Amino acid sequence: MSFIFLLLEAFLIFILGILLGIFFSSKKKAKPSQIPEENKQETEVKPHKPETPSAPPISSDQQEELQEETVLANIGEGLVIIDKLGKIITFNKAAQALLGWTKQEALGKNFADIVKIDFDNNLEVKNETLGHQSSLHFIRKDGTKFPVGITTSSYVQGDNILGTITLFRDITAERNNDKMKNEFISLASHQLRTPLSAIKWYSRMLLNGDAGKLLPEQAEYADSIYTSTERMIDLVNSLLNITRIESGRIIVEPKPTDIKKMLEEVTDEVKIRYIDKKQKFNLNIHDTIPILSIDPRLIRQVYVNLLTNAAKYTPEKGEITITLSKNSTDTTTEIKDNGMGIPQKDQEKIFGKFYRGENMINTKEGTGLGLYLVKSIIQLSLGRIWFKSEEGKGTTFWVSLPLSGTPAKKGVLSIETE
Amino acid sequence: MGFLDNFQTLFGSKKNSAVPNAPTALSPDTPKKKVLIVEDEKLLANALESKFKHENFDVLKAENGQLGLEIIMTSHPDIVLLDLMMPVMDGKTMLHKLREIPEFKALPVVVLTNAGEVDNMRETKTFDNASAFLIKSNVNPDDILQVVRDAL
Repeated sequence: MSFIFLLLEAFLIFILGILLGIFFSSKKKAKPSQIPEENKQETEVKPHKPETPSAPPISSDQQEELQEETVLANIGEGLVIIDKLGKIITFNKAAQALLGWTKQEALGKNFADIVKIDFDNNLEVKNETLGHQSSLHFIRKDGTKFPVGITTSSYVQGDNILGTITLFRDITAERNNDKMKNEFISLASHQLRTPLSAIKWYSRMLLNGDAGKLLPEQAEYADSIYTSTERMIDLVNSLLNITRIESGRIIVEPKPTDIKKMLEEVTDEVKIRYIDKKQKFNLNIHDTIPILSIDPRLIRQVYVNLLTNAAKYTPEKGEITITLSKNSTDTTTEIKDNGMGIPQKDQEKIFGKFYRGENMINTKEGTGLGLYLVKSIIQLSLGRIWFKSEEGKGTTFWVSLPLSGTPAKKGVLSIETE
Repeated sequence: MGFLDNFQTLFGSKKNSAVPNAPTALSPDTPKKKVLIVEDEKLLANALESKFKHENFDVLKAENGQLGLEIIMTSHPDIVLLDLMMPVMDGKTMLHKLREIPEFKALPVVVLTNAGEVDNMRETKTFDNASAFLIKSNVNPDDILQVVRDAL
């Protein structure tokens, strides 16, 4: 999804670049002719040309202007240009269609009288820090509203702001597509879960000997079924969590949390889960770590994912050192392992969706969604995450959380934790 | 939140195997406990049925909330395992109707669901009406058995 937004953004910037180019070139040409004030509106698009008094033949300059005018008029996005007084001087076809005002009605009016923004709706979306939902709603002439994607920039000459160019488009369809995609993923995830639960339950019952004692080989097969199912359930859960986070409707419920205790608990859990690897876990808690106002479910998931990664990608008898410290503004958790490390060329991709290190692809575990989820949670929590890694030597992750805590966020969805 | 914490504790100890020598299994004098499984997915209902029969429970089954309510009225189970998404009458509705009947206000109900429904339940306060809340794909039949024993 974010890829599509990037493309759209690039496209918008491209169009804006062209428009600015067009605008400045026409201004430059208009300047020496000293047009009287009342004609200025016209001049933006059709500058007066004293050096070519008669119409035919069409000069290349004129042809260029005609072209520019046509481009401005027919561009697919709504285009409104205002002068420095806030009066509309350009109002293209798409703007007329989107807002319901004619060009005659709009030209010369104040921007705010024609392009009305739905502020009530705006306040609601302001809460959504993630998920590309932070767009505005415009109100049409007839009072109806539509969600709008908008790009605004000022055009200046020297220190003078000459006006503002606003490009906008109706993003109802994008919104609907997003909604449908999210609904599809949650439906698919729910439908997948029932059969997965059945496989998990029955293979477990077999392993427990509920249907009679298994021969060693039978137990081994049943165990493979059980383990694979668990992996699949993890994957479905991660997908669902990511869809939720991306939808921007996730709930953040900060409450006073002892992260020192949380880290101890998670360390114990992970240690037990990977007990066969005989790794050494060191837990150093520096300073007096205060109680933080954070969402414990979210932050716990961060610790579980980072510590599980450390254990997973560190060989037997390896060492994992967890250090919790604080300074005047943040607490920082350092998770250091001496495992296989992340190849240099992959390092910029590790927080991406479905990233799996080239040196880990052949390992059985991992969904490629863990770090993406971690980063999304840290963003929601106003924290920071960074790392240092050397292939073959190990990886260190740092997570910092502000002492000032995480702001609460209303939403309708919560993430599912392990 | 409390349920989720419970659930996490439970999940953390998922490696526990079945409780050895459940007292009910050995003493014929103690009446068998009666468990009602309200679940439309036959495979899941059957898994639980065999687990609980194995542990010497009397097992009743219903495939939707409507039938579940009828069986509760007529057979008075000791505990109910309740799925949420079901045809005819869903688990949420059944639980609300059940709690409106004074006789069944305290009947233990363990909600078993697919995780996505948690959010739905937050809004409708189903949490307050259930004695435990388990996410199917995160637990094993043994865990469910343990929760039932704890609730009885």
